Amino acid sequence: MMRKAYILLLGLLISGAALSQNYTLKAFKAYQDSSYGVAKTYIDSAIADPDESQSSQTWRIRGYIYKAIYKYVDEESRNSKARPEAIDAYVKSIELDEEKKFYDNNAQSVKFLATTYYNDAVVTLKPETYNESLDMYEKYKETLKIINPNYDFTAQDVQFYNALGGVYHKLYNRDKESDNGYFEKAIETYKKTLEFDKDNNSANYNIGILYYNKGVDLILALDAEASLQELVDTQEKCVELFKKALPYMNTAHEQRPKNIEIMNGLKGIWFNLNNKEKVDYYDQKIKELKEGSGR
Amino acid sequence: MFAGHTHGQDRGEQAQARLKAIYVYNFATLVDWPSEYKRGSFIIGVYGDTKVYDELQKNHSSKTVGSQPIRVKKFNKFSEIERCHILYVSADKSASVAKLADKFMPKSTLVVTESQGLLKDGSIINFIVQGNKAAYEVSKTNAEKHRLIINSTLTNLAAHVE
Repeated sequence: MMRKAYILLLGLLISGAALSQNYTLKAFKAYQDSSYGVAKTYIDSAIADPDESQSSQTWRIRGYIYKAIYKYVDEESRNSKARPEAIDAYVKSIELDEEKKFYDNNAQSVKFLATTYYNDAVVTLKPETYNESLDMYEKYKETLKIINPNYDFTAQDVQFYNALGGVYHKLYNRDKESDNGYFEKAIETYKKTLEFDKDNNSANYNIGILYYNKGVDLILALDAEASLQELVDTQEKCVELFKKALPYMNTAHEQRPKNIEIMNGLKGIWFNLNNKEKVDYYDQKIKELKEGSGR
Repeated sequence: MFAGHTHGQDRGEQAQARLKAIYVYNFATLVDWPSEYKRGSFIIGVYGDTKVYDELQKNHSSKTVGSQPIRVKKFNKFSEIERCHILYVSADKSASVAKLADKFMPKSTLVVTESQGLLKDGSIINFIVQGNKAAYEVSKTNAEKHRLIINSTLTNLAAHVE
């Protein structure tokens, strides 16, 4: 790290003649002294200078300074304004760097900052802060695309949207009686996961469970004095939900035929579809599996 | 992997039992008993192993039919079964329905069952499955034998009436 810094300083001194006031050099020295506030003042002046603002080096150093401010002054706060400033600076440095002298270094820094967005997305992927997580995840992708426009985010998208579906699922479960829209959001988000990965077992199972539990909840919410007509109407809605659950749970089962939890899910759905034959079938399969595993 | 979301198998069974318990409560309010049955408690007996008993006990034992407070009783043996307004016979006790119908012939007991073909054995209301849903069929003939009058609301929504 120190060696890199001295090479950078040497480069600055050599090119110093081309830079009128050399705010960049002053900024770099302050940066080395960890005087980030002073460094910021100088580098902001550098980019206002007509000559220095055309130097890829200047923008690169601005990237260093704002990255340091993000890390050490703002303590990696998710709301740090220094982070996007650092990214913009590296981008500008890359644009001006015709010979690509600093490309690898700049790209590495951008990748690092993209990763910090990803980490923030993971940390905030909770019921209380999921909106922030969505924002951080989008910023992660936008930032990484700067240095790799063709990056394939499929694996990360599958993981993220599956986890986000889980957050909506939790929020729905917390307060099922309110029409808070989380049921639909959970379903949509798990289905989005399936768009990226149609064989995703977790998403298939969770969609099945959501529909199934919704049907069960509707019945359990019936008033003890509900009329015959209400019973008929409620069952209509529930059968629709159980039938929606079935293909997803079947897919999950095909993917993991020895998973007892999935088989119990299927058994529950068929029980509520009043199909004794299927219930007995899965009962038998579960029994065989348990006996086979010594449970 | 499954994010801690379970299907709650017991909840599924509870749901179907809840449905049937509410149906039974509706039967209680939509069937007319002879006047001598309109005094004292309204007894709903449950014979056999079924969660319907739990649901009736939990959600309906504090209610009334007309002015009669509901009491829910569980019978584990045939010999224990005594006079009741409604006798719910679970599927595992289906074989005893014909004997029960005879036992209660002079009495006005609404025998409710939940297995195929039990109206011919003397059941008055039998739960069946129609379009994946719990439905019921009614035997007005059997009802008349027990001096019970079935309200048209009940027959109108039945899957089948004899």
